Amino acid sequence: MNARKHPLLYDLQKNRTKWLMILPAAVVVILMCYIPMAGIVLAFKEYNYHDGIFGSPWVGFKNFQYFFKSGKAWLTTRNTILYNIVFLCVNTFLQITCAIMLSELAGKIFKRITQSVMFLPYFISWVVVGAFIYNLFNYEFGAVNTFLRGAGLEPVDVYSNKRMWPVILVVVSAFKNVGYGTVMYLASIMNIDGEMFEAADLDGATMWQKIRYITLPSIRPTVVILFLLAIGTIMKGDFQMFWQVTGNNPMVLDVTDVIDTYVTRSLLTMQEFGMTSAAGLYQSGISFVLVLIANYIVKKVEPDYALF
Amino acid sequence: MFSKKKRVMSLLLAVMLLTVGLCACGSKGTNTGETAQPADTKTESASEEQKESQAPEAEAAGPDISQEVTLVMYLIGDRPVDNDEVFAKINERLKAEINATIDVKFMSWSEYEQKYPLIFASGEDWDIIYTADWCFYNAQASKQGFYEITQEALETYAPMTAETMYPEAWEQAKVNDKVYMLPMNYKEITAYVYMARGDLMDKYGISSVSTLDEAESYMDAIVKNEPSLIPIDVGSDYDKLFLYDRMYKKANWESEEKVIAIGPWQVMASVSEVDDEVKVMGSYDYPAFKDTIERLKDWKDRGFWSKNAVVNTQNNTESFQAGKSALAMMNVNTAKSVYASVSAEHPEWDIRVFDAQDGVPPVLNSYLANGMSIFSKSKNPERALMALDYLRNDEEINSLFCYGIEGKHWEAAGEGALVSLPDSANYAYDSNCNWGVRNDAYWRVIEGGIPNLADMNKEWQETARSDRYQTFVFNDESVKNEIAAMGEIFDTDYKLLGLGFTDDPEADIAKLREKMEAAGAQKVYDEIQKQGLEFLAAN
Repeated sequence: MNARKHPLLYDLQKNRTKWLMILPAAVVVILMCYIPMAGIVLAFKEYNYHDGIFGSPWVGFKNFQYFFKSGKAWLTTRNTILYNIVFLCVNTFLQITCAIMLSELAGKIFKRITQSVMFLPYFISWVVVGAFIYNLFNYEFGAVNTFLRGAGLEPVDVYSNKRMWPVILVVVSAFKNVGYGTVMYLASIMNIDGEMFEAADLDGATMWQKIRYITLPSIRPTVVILFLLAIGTIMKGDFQMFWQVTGNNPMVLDVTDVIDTYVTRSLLTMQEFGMTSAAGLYQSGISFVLVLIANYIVKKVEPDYALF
Repeated sequence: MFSKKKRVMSLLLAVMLLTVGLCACGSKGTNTGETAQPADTKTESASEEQKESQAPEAEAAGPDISQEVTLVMYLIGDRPVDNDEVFAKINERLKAEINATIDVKFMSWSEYEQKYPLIFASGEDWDIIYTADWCFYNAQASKQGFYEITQEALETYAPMTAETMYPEAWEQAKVNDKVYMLPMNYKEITAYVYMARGDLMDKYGISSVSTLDEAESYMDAIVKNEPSLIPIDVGSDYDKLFLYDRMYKKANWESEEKVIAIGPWQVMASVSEVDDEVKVMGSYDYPAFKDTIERLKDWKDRGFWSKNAVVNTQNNTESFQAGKSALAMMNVNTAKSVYASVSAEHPEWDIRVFDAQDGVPPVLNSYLANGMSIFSKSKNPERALMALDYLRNDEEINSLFCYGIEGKHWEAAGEGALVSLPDSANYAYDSNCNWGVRNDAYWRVIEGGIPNLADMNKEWQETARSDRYQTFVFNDESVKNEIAAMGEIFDTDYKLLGLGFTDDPEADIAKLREKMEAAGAQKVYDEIQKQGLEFLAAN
């Protein structure tokens, strides 16, 4: 009876441990995300210290103008979205492949070591990765060119070659992120009921058949949810990566410039909080729409996997 | 049931991710507890005014200092090892004189661009900060970040400063007719020098590296004979336009029009000094620009700097010190300390310093090149002003701040000179962000170091000049969006041209012009012209 009258209260009581577990995350989200959201108004204000965020004068959409002035809005938006889609597809594919391979490996110690080695790059700062790249590809002293010269070949000037950068960026993104995602998919594979594999073994299924008919379908919900979550960040270029790895190189900007790096270059010396917020709002707004659309599609195709 | 819960969880997660972006923009200005109370600050300043007007009547002896206060002072740079020891001595004096002590905080060079504006917005409690025309003075003053220093306040709380301040300095410090800074009391010259390897010069029979042509033949010898060295390793954010500047300034100085830069550097605006109409054009529209870019292209093609110069993170001085390049260019103040350390480390290089001005008069800096300001929300602005008065004008305190402890870090060497002692490694001469309180009356030059410095100095002193628009302050209020768009162009197309990275100078200059026009260059130039005319009328 009680349960029907106060479903929430009943639920709170019945699942109190779970609610307790979600509490810290909820507090963080409310404190760090919902409350500061009021700061969005900054995007429409001419900020000064004296009047603060809410007292400063309104300026309408003026803070957004610079973004469209130099005609780079479309280029950077396109680069941001395309890079993120490619990263998402390539990384997800590699992560699932690695996770399945690891799960099929027999030697426990070898498995652990491989997993750790793959995870390690996740902790390397982009500044350091940027230095790797510079020392590899520098025209005069770089390892690659020293090797090429030693072998009697023509050195390559990577830093002025537009075609190489998309490849380099996809490779370093995979280098850094594959290990991390692999662990998530591996966890989800470990959760698959072992009896299914046993039954398959009895029926004489091959390894490929087991992967094709048991493993992949079982981790599909995880894949879809992680994919949907990733779409929320599709408008955010990984600033550190694009800035550090390319060295903010003006020669290849057409193919490496994303919204975040563009905004940083424009405003680095201007200290305009309003304009920075405007760029953030633009990104968040489009991300929001993209998530809604993606979720809508998922809901049509697989209603069970939709986020909301 | 379970899958539903899972979905609730993932929903929460999704919301969290979605809002991260909004957090990023929100959190930058979250601590608005204090900022959002204009009414409060008004009453505060009103009571300050009352205090100011009452103080002299109530206490003929001077301002009320019965309450002991600690003032927080922000400086830029890395904390010198002996900083606390030096400030213990300064505080001893300040405590006795004005019942206040100073607590120094440093923000490093690598982060000051981000951190400087943030401490104004963060609601942190602090009082005094280093500032300069190149270090956000105008930006923060127009955003009401600084405490206004009135003539009355100056006379009441900083009588020594009121007496010694150069009147031009006081005038220069005005933003919208109000002063927010105590500019340094010191005439500073910025001149550039080359630092070259004497061993290599002798090897290739080069006697001097002073003019651009001499530098060219020196670098040519290096690039042909020393494959392991880069002649000059420019290209970092700090020195990407060093060579361009030398060439462009020389061409302009020798021309009839005497074209000089005006307004914010991102907008690349130039004007002729002899033109009373203040006709502003992009520097790329002058013929000298094309010649300069062509010469830079030639130098770059000959390998005078790296093919990857645009992604350099090390500046040419650091590279020179590390033995990777054969020539460095720097301003003379940097050269003094670099010379000392490189000669000690690599005596075999026999390094030599040459005047790189090449006939162009060095810049007599504006007084705003260094100064100190008080935070608009300081709880003790009067006491901060009094403390600054002592930092600037008390010989003992001023010398402590500028050179360290006498007998430990330095020793007097006659009138107006000093010798550094070994301990000065822990508190180096004139490199502790003390520049804002430099005072000609107590200034001491350092003995030893660059042998031909005195000769160069003599010449610079005679020729140094400030250009016509040196103190012109551009109010960017109406064209901020255009400037932001141009800042981006400056950092990309202009930087590439300035380092000679172009296959077809003419076409790339045309491209730059096109982009600048699209970004609204004409609107900005018109605004500069308008304000420039007002500036000329007022001066």
